[in-house]
Amino acid sequence: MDWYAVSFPLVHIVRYNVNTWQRARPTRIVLGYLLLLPSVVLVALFWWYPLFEVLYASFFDWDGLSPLEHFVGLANYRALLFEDPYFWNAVKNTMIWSAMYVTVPVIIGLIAALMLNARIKGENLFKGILYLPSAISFAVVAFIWGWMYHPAGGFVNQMLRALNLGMLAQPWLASNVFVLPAINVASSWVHTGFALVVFLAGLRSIPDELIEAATIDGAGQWQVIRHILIPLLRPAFTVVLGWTLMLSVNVFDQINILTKGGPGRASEVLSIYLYVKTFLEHQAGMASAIGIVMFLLAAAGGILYVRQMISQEVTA
Amino acid sequence: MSAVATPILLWRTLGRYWARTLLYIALITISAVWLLPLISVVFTSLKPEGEIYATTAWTLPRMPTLANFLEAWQTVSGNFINTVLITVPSSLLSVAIGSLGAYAIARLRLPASQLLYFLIVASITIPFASVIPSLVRLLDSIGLLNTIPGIVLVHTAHGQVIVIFLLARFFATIHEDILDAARVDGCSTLGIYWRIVLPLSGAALAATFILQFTWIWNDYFKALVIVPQKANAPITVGMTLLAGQYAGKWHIRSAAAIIATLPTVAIFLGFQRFFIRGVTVGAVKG
Repeated sequence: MDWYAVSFPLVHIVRYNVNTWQRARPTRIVLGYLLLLPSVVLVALFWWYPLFEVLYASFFDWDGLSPLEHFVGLANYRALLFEDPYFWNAVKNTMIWSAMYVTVPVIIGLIAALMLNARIKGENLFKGILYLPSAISFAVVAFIWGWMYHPAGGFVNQMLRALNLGMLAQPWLASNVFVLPAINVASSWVHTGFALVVFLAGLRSIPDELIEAATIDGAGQWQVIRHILIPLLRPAFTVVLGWTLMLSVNVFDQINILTKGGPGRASEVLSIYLYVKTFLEHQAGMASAIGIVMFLLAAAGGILYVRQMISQEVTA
Repeated sequence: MSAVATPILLWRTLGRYWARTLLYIALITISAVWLLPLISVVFTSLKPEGEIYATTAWTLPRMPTLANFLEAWQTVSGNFINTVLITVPSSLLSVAIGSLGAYAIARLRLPASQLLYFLIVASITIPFASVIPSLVRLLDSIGLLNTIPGIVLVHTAHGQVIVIFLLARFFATIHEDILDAARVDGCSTLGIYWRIVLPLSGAALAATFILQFTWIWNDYFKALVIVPQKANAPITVGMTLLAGQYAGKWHIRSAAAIIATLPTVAIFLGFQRFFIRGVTVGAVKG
């Protein structure tokens, strides 16, 4: 999930005087739109159009296969919000998941970034180790942690027994209480690296002189943290928290592979519930309504991220 | 460069020597914890069946064997090949198409290009799950559901969002003087893209391609929805289909998991800087 991690330097955008070429020339503009057309058509066809159709379908009683015929107005939403305990269960589980996801990996990542910021030997090695899980598919991550949590042969219980803490050994993924935290540990194992590299980049962008000057002027270390580090890390926080919130609403792979939402519905999040509604219960109209709810939740976190990411213009 | 921030804070409290020792102890501990799951799976993949439950997950295999990999490969090789057939064209196409769009947005001063840029980049907030009911119907209606071209098309389309975001950003940093010089020499708009912009963007193109490649290689959700059957499924989905057939055979499944992830981990180890150095895009300046 780390395609935004790219290695080109952040160079500020060069503004240039408008010369004759840059005044609108029809051929250039037509050519420009032609070059942009394939991208826009692809995004429109496979992102925007389905989103609008899902919005439209959420007002229909629909099995996902036949044409959209039975308009039911807001009935799907009404059913979800007022009659469906499983929907609220999925909302609750998604919220719990999000709460864990925006704290555990973000805090560990921040602490690790503060430690690595000391420019110690082996920085790249430590960074590489913490970031390595990001290169692994969640399908594989789920497998790895399924084995870690295996009641008999798995690492976690074996280690607990070896430490004479055998009474804490659990069938982690079969426990109503532990299933979500256990899967979240697996996801945090992946996501910490992202928080780490963004925070580290943010810390590195703070000029030394600022901190030295403040220290010379008698600022204590908490004042340095409070008045310099935290305010200047704000863009990094926005990116990490916005992106993490958005991802947390999207979570599917790990949970589907490890528990399919079980035991019972203890780990059923919105995406799993939507998947079940679409493919197993053939209630695509209802699934569409869930999809719209998910979009609204994800967009809330996502727009923070997008605003920060495009805060620099891209026109020359 | 705020290398001093952490040291100042820590050195003051603990003194240089203790601060440094403590940092190393903490970092080595956390790194060890991070590596344990991987070590556990690698060890398991090398153990013969009898050793899995008889030994702990962290003991070295007594009689290491590669037989597990052979058996795993025989079962998942078809899915591995599907992954290659999906990933290579999807990542090449998405970068090729996206780089044209990014060039138009960043360098051609089109009316409304900023709006289009925003709409494309903002599409990243749409959860894949949200569009499933309609996407399945759409692909079905054009006969591409359950086909490799179908998922290649979806990956290429969804890839536009990030390819355009990254490349438009990079293309915008190329100095106008260079393009002006080319223009004075009679280079056409497309000629500038091909002869100036692309050659100057080698690192950015490579990074974008590598990220797309990893992202698509690792995809599970889209494949599960679009190509769920074993015949066309990539290895991420194929692996999970092993769960029934190889229930309890964690040594074989560990080997399959390693086969599935080896290419992206190798790319990561080879191009770590590409992955890590620039997550900063947009994250640093306010």
